Amino acid sequence: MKLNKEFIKHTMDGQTVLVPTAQAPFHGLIQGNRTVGVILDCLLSDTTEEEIVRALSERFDGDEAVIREDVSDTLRQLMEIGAIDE
Amino acid sequence: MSKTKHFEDIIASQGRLIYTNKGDSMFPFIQPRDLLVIEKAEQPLKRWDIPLYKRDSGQYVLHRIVDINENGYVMCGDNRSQCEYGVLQRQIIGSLTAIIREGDTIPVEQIPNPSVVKAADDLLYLVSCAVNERQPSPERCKAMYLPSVYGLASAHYLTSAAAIALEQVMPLPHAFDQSKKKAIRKLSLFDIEREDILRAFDEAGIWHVPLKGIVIKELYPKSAMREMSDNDILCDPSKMGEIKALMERKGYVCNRFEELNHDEYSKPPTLEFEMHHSLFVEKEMPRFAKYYADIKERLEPVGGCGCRFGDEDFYIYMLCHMYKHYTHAGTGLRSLLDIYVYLRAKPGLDRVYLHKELKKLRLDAFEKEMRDLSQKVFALQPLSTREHKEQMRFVFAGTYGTEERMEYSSWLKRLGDDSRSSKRRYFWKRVFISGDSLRECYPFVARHKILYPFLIVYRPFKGVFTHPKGIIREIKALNKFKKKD
Repeated sequence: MKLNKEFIKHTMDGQTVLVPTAQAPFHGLIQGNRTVGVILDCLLSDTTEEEIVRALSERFDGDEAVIREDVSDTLRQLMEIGAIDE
Repeated sequence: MSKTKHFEDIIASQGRLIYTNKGDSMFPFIQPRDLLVIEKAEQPLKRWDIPLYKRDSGQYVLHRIVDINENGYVMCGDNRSQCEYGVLQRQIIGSLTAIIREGDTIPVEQIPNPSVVKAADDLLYLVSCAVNERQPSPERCKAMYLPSVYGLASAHYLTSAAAIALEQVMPLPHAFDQSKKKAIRKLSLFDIEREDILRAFDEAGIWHVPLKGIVIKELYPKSAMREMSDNDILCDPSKMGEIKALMERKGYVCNRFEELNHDEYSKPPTLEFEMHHSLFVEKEMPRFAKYYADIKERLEPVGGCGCRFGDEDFYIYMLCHMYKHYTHAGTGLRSLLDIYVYLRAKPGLDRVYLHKELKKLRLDAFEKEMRDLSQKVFALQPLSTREHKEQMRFVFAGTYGTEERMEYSSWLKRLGDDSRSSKRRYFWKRVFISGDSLRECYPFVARHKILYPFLIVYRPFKGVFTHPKGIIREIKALNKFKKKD
């Protein structure tokens, strides 16, 4: 899976934002914390959910089960707005 | 016995109603013993207008519009805290146009509007908290009528800044929340697109300088506080054709090319770029155009083909740009805020150099006035009566000024003053066209002067058929023009 090219990751005022272009199926703004920033960085190239969980576990302290749930939840929301190409 | 006439009947038949007010709901705007002049409202009503309306109960009310939404007008007396919602257009009888006070007829626009003054005070308080990174008082925020603050903030492109202050002490109202998100989205899209465009300029060898908001937003505590409607970039004037082709390849539509001192490009959803080949139009601002004639000499390279102004020169440019709008249609609070933010971020500006350059441009007094005013307004220091009046001039201008202000500035430029002799001279020049105007509009006659007497007869005769209303309007405006203090 990979980030749809009509969604662009950007940093503003220290916060990660995911900005849809005019061609994107979603018209709004996605703002996230550092965790979302790392997930989006992983999605810039073709990756899997497992690889994303591994990347986050290396970057942040925390229970792996909680990290796994956060990743799953974020990916689901991104898929709902058409931000991910499978 | 004569038939009792209702207010709406009098206005319908005579177009005008004069009556005395009851109650104190509009005090101090309307005072005891004032006579009120109500006229039929020809235009759609807008925020801050004071209509006379009739409730379904039959009661007549004269209150101020503080908001307009899909349910109708929201009305409130200046001396009341409770608003009335859902007043409909069909209930509007007329609008207050003047007050007769102790024998003098005063147009309403000349009387300070306490609702706007309060909304302005609240907006400036929020924006000051935002840029000074201070938490606003929760009690003060709760007491604000936020729809009025939002309306005023929108006119000045300050909704995002106000939202960033407000969200520290309360859940954001929907309008503010959406405005802030839209501002972040727009700024992000601009950043992404601009990076791509300027990379292409580098590859094509086109020198470029980001202007105005692109630079200033980086000096705000959060870029999202500094909203922008477009991005302005100064470019190599010899490459405008190449720039057009490049922008069109990137999906931009060119809306204006070689008409002004900048070309305009747009792309969905909200992207607008202005590519400037010069900073000022010589006809409009000859002093500034001359000062910036050799612009490249004032720029510093920053890598690739990118250039920038030095800190002092950027400040000078900000002032020139602000002055241009200030003396034409007016300029809003955002420009004053930019001055405050810039000077706070650049405390070490070379004042000797600035003074020397600003004197050349005859902007030294203007700079001092704007510097002092911006400091007082956004540091929430007490203002003198004159300073408060100046602040309200910015408040009423909106971000890009007003048509009324533009028209006034245009007349002032043409006449110089409102004396009878100036007006007669203007009228004479309009009828007996000569000089640059003759050469520009009737070049054939300018070259064959023998035809001039025929032109003098032809022009008014033609005007009566092609634009009679325009002629009548100009004559009325000339008669009515009065120079303000």
